[in-house]
Amino acid sequence: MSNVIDEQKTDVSAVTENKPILEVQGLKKYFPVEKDFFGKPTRFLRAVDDVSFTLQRGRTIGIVGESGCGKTTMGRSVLKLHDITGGRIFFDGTDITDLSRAQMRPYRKRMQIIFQDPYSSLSPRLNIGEIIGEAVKVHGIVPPSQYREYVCEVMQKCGLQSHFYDRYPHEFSGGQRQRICIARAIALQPELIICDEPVSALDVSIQAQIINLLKDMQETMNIAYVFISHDLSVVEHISDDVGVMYLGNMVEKGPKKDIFANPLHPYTQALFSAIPYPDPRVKMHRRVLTGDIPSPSNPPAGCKFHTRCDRCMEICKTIPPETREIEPDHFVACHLYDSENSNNGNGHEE
Amino acid sequence: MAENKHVHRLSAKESRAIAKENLKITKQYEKLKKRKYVPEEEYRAEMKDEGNILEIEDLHTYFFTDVGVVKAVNSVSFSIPQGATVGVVGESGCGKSVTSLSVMGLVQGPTGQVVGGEIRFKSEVLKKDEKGKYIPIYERDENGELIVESETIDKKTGEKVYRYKQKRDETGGLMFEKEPKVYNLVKTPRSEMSKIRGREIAMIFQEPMTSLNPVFTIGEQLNEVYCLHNPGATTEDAKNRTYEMLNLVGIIPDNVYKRYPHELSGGMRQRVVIAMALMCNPRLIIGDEPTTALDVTIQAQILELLRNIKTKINGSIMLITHDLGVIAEMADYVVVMYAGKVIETGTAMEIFCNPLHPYTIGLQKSKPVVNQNQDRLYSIPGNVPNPIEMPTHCYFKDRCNRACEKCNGEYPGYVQVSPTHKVACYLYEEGVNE
Repeated sequence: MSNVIDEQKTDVSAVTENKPILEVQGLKKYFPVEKDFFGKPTRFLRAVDDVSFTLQRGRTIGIVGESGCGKTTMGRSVLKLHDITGGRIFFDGTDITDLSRAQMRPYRKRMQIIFQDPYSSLSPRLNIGEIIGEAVKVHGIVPPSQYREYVCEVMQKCGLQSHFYDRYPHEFSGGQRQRICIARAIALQPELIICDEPVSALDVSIQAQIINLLKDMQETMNIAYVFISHDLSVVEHISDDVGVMYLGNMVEKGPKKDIFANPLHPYTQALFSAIPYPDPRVKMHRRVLTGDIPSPSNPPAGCKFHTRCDRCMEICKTIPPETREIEPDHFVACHLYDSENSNNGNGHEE
Repeated sequence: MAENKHVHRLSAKESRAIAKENLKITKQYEKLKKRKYVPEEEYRAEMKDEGNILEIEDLHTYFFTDVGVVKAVNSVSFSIPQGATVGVVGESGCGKSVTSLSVMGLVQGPTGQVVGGEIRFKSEVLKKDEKGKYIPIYERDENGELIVESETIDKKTGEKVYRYKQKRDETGGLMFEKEPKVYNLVKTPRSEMSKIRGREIAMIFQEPMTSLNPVFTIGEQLNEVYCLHNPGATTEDAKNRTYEMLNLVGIIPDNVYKRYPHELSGGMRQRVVIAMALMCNPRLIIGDEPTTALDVTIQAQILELLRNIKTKINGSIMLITHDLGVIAEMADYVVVMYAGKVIETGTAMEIFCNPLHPYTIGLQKSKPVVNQNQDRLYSIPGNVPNPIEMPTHCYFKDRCNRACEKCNGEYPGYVQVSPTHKVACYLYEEGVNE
């Protein structure tokens, strides 16, 4: 029984070669906030504004940013849980942007989501077996005769004892509930899981267990993760690539090592210097950002970060910066670097 | 104890019996609390060490629930020196919030009761004269004469009545004579407690959304704090102070004064809550996870703010959090709690550079640290024991990777490692330590 998952997994990986599992191009999601007399929206909240990234099979991209920067909306839009306003989403090479709900069905079981709050994302009226097994039944992952066995197997993989099958969510602690959520996602043998702050609501010692579990699952099942979190240390631990979001824009993205060793965007720098370091001997040289994140329904003109940036220039207030590749695979959207480039260019000419 | 083993499957009958029993106990405690007149001797106390502002000794706070008694705080002792920051760390459910609520006298009754122990707080209360009035302090000019602010003529006697100018403290409030008194907060009646709470001890709650009243504007709520604790204060005084405090926490007062809590962002709300806590220059600030709900950038702002304010008013801070990074940055002393008990205390240096208790070590190893490559995080195996049926041996024994024969015995006592460093673990008792 235990090799059902593994067999199917090998089939899938044999078929596909080096195609990225997920490719997002210029994703936009606007929410209407004001409507005119005829019900036509006049003002929009630009939750996600032109975000692009690619994710390879079995790898993890970490998305960091403050609350309200559109991380969660982006995660949900990728799964088409929101109708997107613009941009294209390619899942395993197929354009899924314009697929209808019915057409999405076969793709649904290949992409799953784990929500932030394990207390509100589990139905209190279903027992654990039903919660984990519901989608298994719907998608016909295993024949009905093996159904219970299969669910128990998934539960054991996630560190839940099989006699929990008939219990209800309220009988479990936060960490165990998050395990249930993970089991629910993994039961469908997905290739992509969006983890929307999966450990934020948990205690430190439990966090470590869940992060380890997610890593194990990735190793054994070759799952790709979009790992959304505001906890930078967790993102650093789990991701291969990191994208930093600010007010709906991806201001910086690149391999984890580059981003953490050499953050380029002033926002990323401030964000990283704000992480408290658990050692009283280390005195931090902190760049404290002033003010709050502006409202995404009324974002500042030009570079959206210029209101809080300590290296703001005149150009930042009017022209939004373009995303440039500064180092290989390391992209940043900031005027500091195009002025540097042009300066360098001038220098060479002289 | 034997039949208590399957306590999580209580029958309705058993549950009713427990509830009935609990009602008897809690009624007695409530009765004690509700007395109209409580003699002052009952709640006066003496500090053990004059340098401390708060001393908690052998505190027990229990919750009498229908499934059994939860010993949320079970013999907790630590003290907060004047002007220092004490960090309390632990997982959720370890009793750190309940400890702080016990200090504030806000444990939710009748289920929750402080059943034993002492919380001694060095407070400065307003002195009263024989008539029960506060004694004002007047301002004097160079010659030591009282300054006349206004004069009126008494209609009955026709004599002149002078109003002298009263001194104002740095908060802008009228000054009255104060006297230092040490209170045992566990026994202090509610009427006295409400004078200390908010004025001497202020609390910053975790959830700013639930700790602000949704039907009053920010201005009204802040003014209220000031007016309650400053006798004779006018709305004008209160508004001045509110503006000053809002400026201090980095908000432009005009923007929020007439707004309602739901119109503000999480970071703004938290700052309003901090402003509210600081209204009366409290001598002790209790921060119950003040930054947990916030983003790192806002968290850095708030921590910076707290640090500045602490030095400005020479207050003490009791900081409750599960984020070791925050503790390392802020705290002078650290208290590590586990399952309602203090398992290790010491200075921040001692706890972070030389953690002794296996739980403290595990806690530190389980947090990923930026720029430190770890392949796998250490995770403490198992779960916190059921709070209703706590074992008699060390509570951490079943999760401990260094448990030994001796740990099966009774709960370990404290081992003094250095004058400030204490740990409750058999590993460090003399003879065992090699």
